[in-house]
Amino acid sequence: MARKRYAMVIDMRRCIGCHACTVACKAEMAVPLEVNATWLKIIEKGAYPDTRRFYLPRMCNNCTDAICARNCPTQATYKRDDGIVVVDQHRCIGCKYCIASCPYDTRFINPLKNIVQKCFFCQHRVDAGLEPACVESCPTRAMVFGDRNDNKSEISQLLASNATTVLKKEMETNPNVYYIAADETVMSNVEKGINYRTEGTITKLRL
Amino acid sequence: MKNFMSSITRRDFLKLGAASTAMLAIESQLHPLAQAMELMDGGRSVNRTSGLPRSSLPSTCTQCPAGCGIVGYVEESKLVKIGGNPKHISNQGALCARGQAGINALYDPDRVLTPLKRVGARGENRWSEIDWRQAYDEVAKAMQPLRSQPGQFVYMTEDLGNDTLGRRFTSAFGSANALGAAGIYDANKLVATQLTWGAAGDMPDVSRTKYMLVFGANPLESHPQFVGFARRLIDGMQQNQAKVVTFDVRLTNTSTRANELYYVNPGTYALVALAMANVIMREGLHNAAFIDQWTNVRSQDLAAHLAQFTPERAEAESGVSAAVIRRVATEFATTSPATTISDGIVSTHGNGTQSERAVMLLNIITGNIDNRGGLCMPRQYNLPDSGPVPPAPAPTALSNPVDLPLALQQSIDRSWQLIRDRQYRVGLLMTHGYNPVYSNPDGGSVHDTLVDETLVPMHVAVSPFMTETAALADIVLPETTYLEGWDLEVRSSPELVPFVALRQPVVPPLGSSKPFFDIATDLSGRIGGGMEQYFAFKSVQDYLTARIQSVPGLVAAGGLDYLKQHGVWYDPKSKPNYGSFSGGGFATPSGKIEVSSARLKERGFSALPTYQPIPAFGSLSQDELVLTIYDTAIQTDAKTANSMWLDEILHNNPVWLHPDTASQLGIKDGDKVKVVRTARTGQGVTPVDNSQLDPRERSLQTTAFITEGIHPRVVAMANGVGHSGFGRIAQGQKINPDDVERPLRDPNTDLVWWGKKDGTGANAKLIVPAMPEPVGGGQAWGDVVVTVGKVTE
Repeated sequence: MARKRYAMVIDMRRCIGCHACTVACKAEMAVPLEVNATWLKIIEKGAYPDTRRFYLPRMCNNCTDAICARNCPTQATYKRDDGIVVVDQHRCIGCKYCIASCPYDTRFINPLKNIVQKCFFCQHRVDAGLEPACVESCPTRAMVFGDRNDNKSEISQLLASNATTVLKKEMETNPNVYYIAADETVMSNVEKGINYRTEGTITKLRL
Repeated sequence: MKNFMSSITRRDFLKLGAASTAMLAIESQLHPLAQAMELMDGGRSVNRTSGLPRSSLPSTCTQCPAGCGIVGYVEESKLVKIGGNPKHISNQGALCARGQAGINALYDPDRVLTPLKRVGARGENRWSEIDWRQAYDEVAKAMQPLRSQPGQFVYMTEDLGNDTLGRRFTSAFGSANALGAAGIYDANKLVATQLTWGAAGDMPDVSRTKYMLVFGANPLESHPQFVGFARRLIDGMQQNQAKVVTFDVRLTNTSTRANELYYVNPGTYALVALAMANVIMREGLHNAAFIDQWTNVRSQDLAAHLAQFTPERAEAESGVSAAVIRRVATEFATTSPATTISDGIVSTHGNGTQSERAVMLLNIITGNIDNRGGLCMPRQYNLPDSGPVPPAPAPTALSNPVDLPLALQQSIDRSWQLIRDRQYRVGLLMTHGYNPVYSNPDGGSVHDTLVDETLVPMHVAVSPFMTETAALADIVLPETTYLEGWDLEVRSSPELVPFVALRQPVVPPLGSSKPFFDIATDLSGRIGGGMEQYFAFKSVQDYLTARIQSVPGLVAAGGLDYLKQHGVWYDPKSKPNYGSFSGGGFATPSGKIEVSSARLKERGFSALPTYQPIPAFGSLSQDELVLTIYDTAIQTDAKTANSMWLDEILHNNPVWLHPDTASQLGIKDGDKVKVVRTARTGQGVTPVDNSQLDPRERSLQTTAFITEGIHPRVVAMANGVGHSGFGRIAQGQKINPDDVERPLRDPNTDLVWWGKKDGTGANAKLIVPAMPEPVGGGQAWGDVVVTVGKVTE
């Protein structure tokens, strides 16, 4: 059987900004309060009455050319054969090089366990033949996960038939999280140093 | 190891197509440990470390009214995850933030796990733990003397329609006062639809429509069938290329998705709808055959009535341009099928019932009634109570308020007014899963009523949590959470195929908490005097089995055992039965759609759908603003704020202000502001003069959120936060896990960060007076006029 290459497509035409993915990740990965491995960026654009709100579900891009894996001095961070970027907690020495080198600010120290954590595309679920928890929970099926190397998979067909974007394409990390019809503004300004900040349900990011 | 799910899911069915022979061959490949062609999208969960499957049990969520199918995943008798049930026809395996956070409620460190008796004065929130025997004795001792005047027993519950046991208990005691809280939610919509087409509620067939006209509704954040409806609405937009046009006072997750969104002056939805109806009739775009055959009006009479609602008048009062009204009306009438969506604010103004009828009219005159892709009637199994059913007790002023004869349920606002004003004498009040001190308008007055022992001599709260209302009880009976109890759960199906679902314990009751069935059964036995005969079931499962006998298909499929295994049942061969009225007509007095309602006319209201301006709104002074309190997909009113995963996302509610308004008021983003209700609130709309009804709380403090996404004359605040009780998590306080007993202990409670940083918001409903809308009796939340000013310290 051909090697798998897992990826996610998030169709922003279907996303309703409901945070089901945010909570699915908290529950599935036992992510403590204060930090998030999956979260929702929300911005508002335009002047009344032509105002619109744009969302962006954010998580680790599980990059094909993962800077974090390259920079890890102990090879604790490595890429699995199927493309998922994981952390071997037994090899991790907590030096935080990976956190500093991630262009997407998706890594963090778990405040309860004092280990590095991020989205692993729910590797334990994928290994059991299940979709990641966020994908399963999504009320509007905005998230699709699967094997890019299988031409018949839903994700391959989506990628083949839609224009997609990735975050910080210029970094040449080749992210494996693709967005369909994402707003340019919400895709730009991938902020460093924030993992989670909201004001009510509206993120205070004004552009 | 329980693994109730078959190894093939709905999405797999879709992917595999209709080739049923291929299906059997492929099914084996979908076994989790086989190299599956596609991943499964639901119904199973594995341990993160071992990869071993978790044991699972299907049940039903009640974190919001939708009643989605869930699966509880358990390890070592602890609930570790809640997912969606892929077999459920409504949510199809998906689950919103609230549903997944139910685990926080189950293990809320401040859960009440032992019966409590108050120590000291009522409301001091000091308690002594007692055993169930003593608790039952105390309640029975207080209830027994009321048997001769059973109407003095008052039972209040959040959702009476789904609290069959509570109604049974109250009737068995001899009281008609089983009171539901629908009046503070969607009562006016229910009355409007009941009067018009003989069924309470509606279900727009959004996945199959081509055009959606949304009036004030926000179904992508808040809907009675949230996940199931939102999923189908997006399907309608993306797969069916349906166009969406919204009218609202603020930017919502729904209006931002719309092809066109228009801001409308508050309370004028009906005028826009009636002007569109006028255009459709004048241009001859109406479905005359449908109107003649299925309504009780003639086209020309209706056209004559509608002539007063010109697009130009609508533009002047609503702010929506006449050109837009003409064009959108034309598109709506010439695109088939089309439907309106109107939950929420349309029916919760003082003109709500008629406004709802005005919006329905657009569907009626274009023949978009109960058709594929149109505005459909609700499909829901009605499971009658079973066994020896208590006789219906004599009505009371609470159960049938004389001044609101059209109300389908009681007006809970009016009930509290009658009790407070000593017009109705209460002997014992039992509240069940209902927190009026938080949820009701003028909660301060509800608080004062509950504290006054001359008004409420005894208050028994049946609740898993120490809510603001339970804190004012004499006895607290610790009910289990929804995850530890049993019931049948039926809802209006967004697929238009009715279903029966089961709520069953996914974990055993924690502490000495008891499911409501046990409490009602034990208590009726202790009270005696004949009421115990109505609770003579061997077990709750016997009781539920008796209730599902009215659904033969379910009985044939295995009855309760089927539900225990699958969580939900619907007729697998069933398809939406569009045009359900074509055989026997509508369940109205005339058998037709009553565009003209004799019942409304009898009561002195307009027989035809009409627009009644909210008096204060037409003459707002420079500093007067209209307050709108909105629901989100993160918090459900009084229900969910003890879930830390939800609070981390939505924990406060700054007031939204338009930049021009803010600049006039000298307010900057983030400023501390005071929101003060003015006496023009509710003026002249309700039969009682509500300007006399001053809520105890007239103002609140919050911060300003300046946004381009709101009408300049409107300010908005989120519902669901601002608790003064309901445990420490709901109030944004850290809890040291070492002080918490297992199994409630969770190290995350020590990480609660938002209380200190952002605060936990304000309950905006405290400054809203009780204002039953005159026709439907539902609370007119939208009629609040406020001023907003900067707080200088």
